[in-house]
Amino acid sequence: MSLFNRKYIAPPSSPIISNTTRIRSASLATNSAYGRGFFEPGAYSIVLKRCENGHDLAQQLADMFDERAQIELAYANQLRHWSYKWRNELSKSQEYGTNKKVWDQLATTGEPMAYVHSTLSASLSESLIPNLRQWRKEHYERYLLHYKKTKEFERDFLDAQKSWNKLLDKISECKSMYYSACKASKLASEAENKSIYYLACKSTKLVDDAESKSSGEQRKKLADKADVARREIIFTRTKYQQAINEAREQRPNYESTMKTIFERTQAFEKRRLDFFKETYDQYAKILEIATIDNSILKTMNANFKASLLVHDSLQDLIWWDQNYGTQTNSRWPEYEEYID
Amino acid sequence: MNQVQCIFPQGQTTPERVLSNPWYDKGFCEPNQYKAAIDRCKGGYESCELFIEIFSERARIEREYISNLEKWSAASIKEISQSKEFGTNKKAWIESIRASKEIGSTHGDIVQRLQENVIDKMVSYKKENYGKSILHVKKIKEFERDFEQAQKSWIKLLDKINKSRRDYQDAQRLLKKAETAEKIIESDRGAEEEQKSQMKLSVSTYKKQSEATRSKYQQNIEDMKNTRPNYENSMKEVLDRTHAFERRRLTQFKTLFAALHQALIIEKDSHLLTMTDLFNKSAAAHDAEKDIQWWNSHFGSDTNTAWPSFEELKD
Repeated sequence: MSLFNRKYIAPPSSPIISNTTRIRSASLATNSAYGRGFFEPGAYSIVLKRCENGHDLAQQLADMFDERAQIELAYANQLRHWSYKWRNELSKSQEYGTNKKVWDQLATTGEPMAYVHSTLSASLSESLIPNLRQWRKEHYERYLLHYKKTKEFERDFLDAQKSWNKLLDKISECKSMYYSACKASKLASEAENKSIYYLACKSTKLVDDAESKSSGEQRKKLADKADVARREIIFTRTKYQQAINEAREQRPNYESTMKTIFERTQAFEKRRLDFFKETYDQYAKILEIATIDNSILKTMNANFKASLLVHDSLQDLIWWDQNYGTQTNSRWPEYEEYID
Repeated sequence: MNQVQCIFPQGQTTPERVLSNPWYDKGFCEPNQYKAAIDRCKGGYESCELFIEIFSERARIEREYISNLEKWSAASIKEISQSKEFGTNKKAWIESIRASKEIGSTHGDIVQRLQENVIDKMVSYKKENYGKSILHVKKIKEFERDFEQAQKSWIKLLDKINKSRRDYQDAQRLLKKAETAEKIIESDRGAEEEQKSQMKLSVSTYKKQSEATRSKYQQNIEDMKNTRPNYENSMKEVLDRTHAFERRRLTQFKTLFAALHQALIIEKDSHLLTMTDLFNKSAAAHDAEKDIQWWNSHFGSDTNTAWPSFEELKD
């Protein structure tokens, strides 16, 4: 693995990420912390993001239920209006007898259904949603531009990472010093070797001007330099090693501190998840009450059945016949004597 | 006969009251009283139309509700899919919406039953029984014609009776006048024989006339008495046909009311069972712990952290 303080984030390639479950979280693709280990500097920011998302999600959930409540209410109101309007029309119509009576009662079936749906709407608006909003308010208190809770977590994370970051910087520094020492030593060695070579050449009389290039003094200087460089390597390496060791020692402490804070965020998130589940259950219940085994609908059903029994075409016809038909008393012309 | 302007009966649930109903309190066989039967037929036609209108609107309301639910479901699911939610929580959220969508399907069933078993049936009933021909409903026109036909000769007879009654009563009046005048003249010493005899003549003329008109009048009444059973029967026959027509209508309404009942009742609706099932499944699948673990392994403390290690310089 390359240096700690990466500037470029490589695309996900580690086995953990390739085992992603089917549940696609769109945020994964744009997540800047993705591909980084949690303990790496700044990687905790995604935890803070999750906390904040919780607020937005709670908002979304409430809005969604609100829309549903509106739909139900609109439906209920339309049904009520329908009932009212047509019962009016019916009363002004030509209809008569039990037929009219039964019809009138059936037009009232708009009422119980409207009631059921407006109750549903009310349960959402007056119970479920305020609950949700209240919960959100309690858990996501604001403080200026942030949420108190996330600010708290952030502070704690920063605190925990402070000394660790310093350590990482130290390591980085030591490493670069060690590397420059290595490079310097390499150069010094090369220079020394060159001068030895020329000396050798001189002794074999191969190269004439090699004499001018090296003198005993210069060679000594170079040898000294190389020596110093080699010692420098050892020194910086030791320092680098020490820094690494220090990190190794600090690691458990650092890990556990970070983990503790993280666990708190986990608990915070779990609370949200649990609450959402509760909310879903409540929603399910509200819908079930409105539809299954609903006492209002049962009553409506019973009333319906009773109404149908009242319907009596024969009775209606007889009534009509008595009032307008052949059973009415017709006046028949009679002999009318002249009266003075 | 003066035409009576019929004011429709004030609508009330049974029993209808008399109020300003001009058909009321007159016998069916009296002239033009059959119009009550015609009005009933017309009323029946309007009732069918009213029925169709009412329940079509109900269906429209249901359809609007269903469409709103569907739009809401689709939009919500899309939004959630694109949201920052994750894990089984996200799934449970989506499934909850899917489950609640079942109510839309339940209402879809209601609308279908309403449309097919109630509204459409009434539409075809109306078409069959109240077929129109330009301005009027054929059947009703038929009844009207038949009533008119049955009453035609009767009305003529009534007119005859009235006329002969008037003639007779006029004759009687004149007779009485003449008789009175005769008495006066008889007791008048100064009256001449001519006058007296003329008076006697006119009295006897009037008497004869009176006799004649009386017998005509009585004859007409007798004719009427003889014709009456026949007339009554013909009228009744037409009326019975209207009764049958109305009975059919009432029966149809009763059938459709029962169908309406079946349309609206959702007690045994299968979609609601599906809804409960989906809700239960989604609740069971919700696993906050699992979600927390998943998140932990992707972004949390279980991720592979790069720890500093001694890195030798590479050439």
